[in-house]
Amino acid sequence: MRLPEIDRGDGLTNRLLIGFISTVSGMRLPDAARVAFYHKNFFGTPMGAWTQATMRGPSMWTVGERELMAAMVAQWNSCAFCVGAHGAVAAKAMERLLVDAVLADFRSAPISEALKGALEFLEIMTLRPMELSAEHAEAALRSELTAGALKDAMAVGTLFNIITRYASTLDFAMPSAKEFHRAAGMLLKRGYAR
Amino acid sequence: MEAPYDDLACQIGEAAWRVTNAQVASVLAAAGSEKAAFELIAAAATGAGLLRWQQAIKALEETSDAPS
Repeated sequence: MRLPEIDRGDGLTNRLLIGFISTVSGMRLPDAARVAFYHKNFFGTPMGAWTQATMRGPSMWTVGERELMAAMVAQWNSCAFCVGAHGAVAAKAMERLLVDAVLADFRSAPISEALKGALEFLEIMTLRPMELSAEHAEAALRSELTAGALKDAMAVGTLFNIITRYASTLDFAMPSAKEFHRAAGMLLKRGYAR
Repeated sequence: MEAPYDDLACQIGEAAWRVTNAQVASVLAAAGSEKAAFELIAAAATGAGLLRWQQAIKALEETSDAPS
């Protein structure tokens, strides 16, 4: 963590809360949650509400599919923390083997054509956004994907092009696989809003 | 925008995984507080995400199946 104040919490209440949650959960509170507690009125609260709506609100995609999209955007942005965190949530909602297959090569993974089409669009959106054109959107819509579902996928792509960037910039500490698994259970149960 | 802010904001937009300790430390020194440095980081990340949303929505709206 490159900003120590986020690590320890701003203000006595947040410091106590971070310490309490870490003690009760038996693991260091992940940096993503520490950011959510930091400078809340500026970023944590609106970002939490936005993330909750996108990842847990009404959507054409299941929670597992959205978490998988998040993990893929993280992979394209070389954010190991977010790949680990959202891959673990997807694995809990779907299957670990399927998540690993998608992360290794989504084009050959046994997923729906609609999800494949969405991921192909998200890949360009993430890596080469200025190249995006109607042709890319039309290609996605030909893969059994509705315009509404594509828009929902774009919302996940937008969100995780933000989250991965501040995670990398702040240099989030990497939890162990066991800790990611435990944190994933909390994210599935409680969601993102703080 | 002044150098340390601009350098870090551009780096976050282009390849945040290449951000260095020195880039963040320079912004922290120039901004004078961790909250100010965090605001720049959050704003640069948000800008990069919203640029992608704008491009994606434009691509969808230009299709013949565009939702009204």
